[in-house]
Amino acid sequence: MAQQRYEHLIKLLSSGKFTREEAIGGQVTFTTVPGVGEQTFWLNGRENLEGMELSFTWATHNDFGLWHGGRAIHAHPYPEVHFYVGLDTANINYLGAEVEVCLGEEMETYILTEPAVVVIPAGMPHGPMTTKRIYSPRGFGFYSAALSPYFKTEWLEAPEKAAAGNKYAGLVKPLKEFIVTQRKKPVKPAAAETPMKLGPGNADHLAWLFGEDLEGLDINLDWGFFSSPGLWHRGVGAHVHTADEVLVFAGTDPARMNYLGAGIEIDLGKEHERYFIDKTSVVVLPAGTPHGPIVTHWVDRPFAFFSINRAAKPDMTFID
Amino acid sequence: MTKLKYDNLVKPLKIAEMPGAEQAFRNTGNADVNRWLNGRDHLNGVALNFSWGFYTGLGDWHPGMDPHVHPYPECLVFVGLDPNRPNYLGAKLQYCLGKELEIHTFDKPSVICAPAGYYHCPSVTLDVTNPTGYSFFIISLGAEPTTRWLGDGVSEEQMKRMGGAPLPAGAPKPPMNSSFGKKRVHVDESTVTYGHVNDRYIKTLKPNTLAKRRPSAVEKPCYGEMVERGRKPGPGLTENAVWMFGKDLEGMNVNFCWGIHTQPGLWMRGPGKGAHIHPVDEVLVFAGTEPSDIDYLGAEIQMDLGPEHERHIIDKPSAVVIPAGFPHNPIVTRWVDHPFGVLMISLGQKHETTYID
Repeated sequence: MAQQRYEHLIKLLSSGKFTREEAIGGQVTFTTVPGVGEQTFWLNGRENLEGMELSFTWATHNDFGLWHGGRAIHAHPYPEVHFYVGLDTANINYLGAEVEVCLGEEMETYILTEPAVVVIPAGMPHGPMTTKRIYSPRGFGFYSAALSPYFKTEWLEAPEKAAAGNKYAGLVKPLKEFIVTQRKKPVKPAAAETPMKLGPGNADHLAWLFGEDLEGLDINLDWGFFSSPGLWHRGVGAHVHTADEVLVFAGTDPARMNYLGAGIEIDLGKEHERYFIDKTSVVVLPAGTPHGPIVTHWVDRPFAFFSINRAAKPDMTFID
Repeated sequence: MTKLKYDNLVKPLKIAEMPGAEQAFRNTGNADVNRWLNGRDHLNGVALNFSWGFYTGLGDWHPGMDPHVHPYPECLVFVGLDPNRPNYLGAKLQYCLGKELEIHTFDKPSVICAPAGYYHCPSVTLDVTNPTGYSFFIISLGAEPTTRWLGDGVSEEQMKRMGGAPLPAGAPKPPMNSSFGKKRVHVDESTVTYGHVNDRYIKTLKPNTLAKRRPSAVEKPCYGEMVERGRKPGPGLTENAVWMFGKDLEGMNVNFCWGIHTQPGLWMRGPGKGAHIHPVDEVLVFAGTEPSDIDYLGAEIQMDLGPEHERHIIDKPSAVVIPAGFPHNPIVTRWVDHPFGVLMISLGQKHETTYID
């Protein structure tokens, strides 16, 4: 098959796969405990994402316990955004689990019982994360976006006792406050006049957070479920962004992390080179890379999609 | 808009618009509006002419002119416009078939098979029960529409107007080559018959689409590789289509598939990129189903043409000419605002299909 010009921009998430049995960056132990996802995809900007100042992880969790074993409290030299999400594709507000998250050196404890986004400023101690209960037979999902081209973790000493308080409550955001599409209908008016309108292939449910929702970080991210074939955006062709972006197409079957359950066509480049995605994959879009339209050809099982764009406010310029 | 290599294969139905044509048969059962494309002028020489139109009128379609014959075989197909009721025509028709002028009536979607030289018509619309009317298309296996009118009610003036007189040199060819029989036939209650001699030339259309069932071992050869190696219908394919093969059409060298599509998505799933070829010419017609605007499709469809998979976007009623051996597909419906009709006409008894990638 002829090599295509932008082939290198589409990667299977399994290119960054780790299992419980494997170590991550030489920092062993925490992947071997039951609370962590059975399979976790870690893709870093330097090795996997064309040098972007961005790394991300995606995992499904279906067991109880501490996520990081004994090495629980840690910090990163860069900000992170954590998405705790359900895998019930009919209901974006359902987490199906109870997760305890500790924030700050005081280890303030927050209990998540519905999908939530947690902002972790650079250097802020956080952890442990503990899956207390799981209600959903599918478990739940977790994705994190790090504003860094690499992952780096400093493990810290934990205080003897977790503290009560709400000093960090503002960093914990219920996902439901940021839903833009529910049951295929927009629930918020479009931010600006645009020639683009939603096509039948677009999200059933979608939440979208911007920099202003995320303590001013230079990032905007979304999370949603898709189940219908068709064009994603009508009335427009290819577009570009001034910031780096990744588009992640993820399956929702925890037993088959590489299984997407859908066939999706995406055009890349101003030449509209066509690519077909039918496995859990990321499309890496350095700033200025034309992309679109996206057309879902078929769906056997609803799939999850999230995009991470390295601008506080997304900008979009249609080029054809 | 960028010019594409295979643009010449995609023909908007509007190219066959004939302003004022609807006046020719006003106050009859004939079309309110139609588009009639032929191989000579519109379809790159393919031995086919076909029409698509909307009908609400009552009465004889060609008063005084019938019966008539053509030098080629044709299928006359009556279909309803309700996407959810493929068995509903929404009209009642009366048709004269054969030299016996045998009267037949029907109120279900039906095809009349008229071999070359076969007497057919008058066609009389007795009733229209669907408030939006119904549709009718002709599939005629000749590049030049040609009719010999045999009715005894055609006036000299009418004959002259319809091209009975020789054309001046250089004049454009008429959309229909008409001639008039020397021996004229009178049709009235005393000359028509009510037998069953011609029953076999009229068939009710029953949905038999691949999207709802798997073909039997006997049927499989009709579809070629379309039903082999894990190929199966995708979400964009209608579940209400009817596919008629040569064996169903009195042995004509044609097979056609008609259905109203309502859903986005890929039409046929399977391994590889999904382009295929046929050993015969094919024309794929995307037709709107909104009678108030025959030039409105109500959907956007992408179709790959050529070995390069050149992607063409179809968003108005169009015919795609697919010469024998020319790679085409996959087809993906991108969005649907209004149900649209798809008529596939393939000039062979079977739909012989070979996938190439």
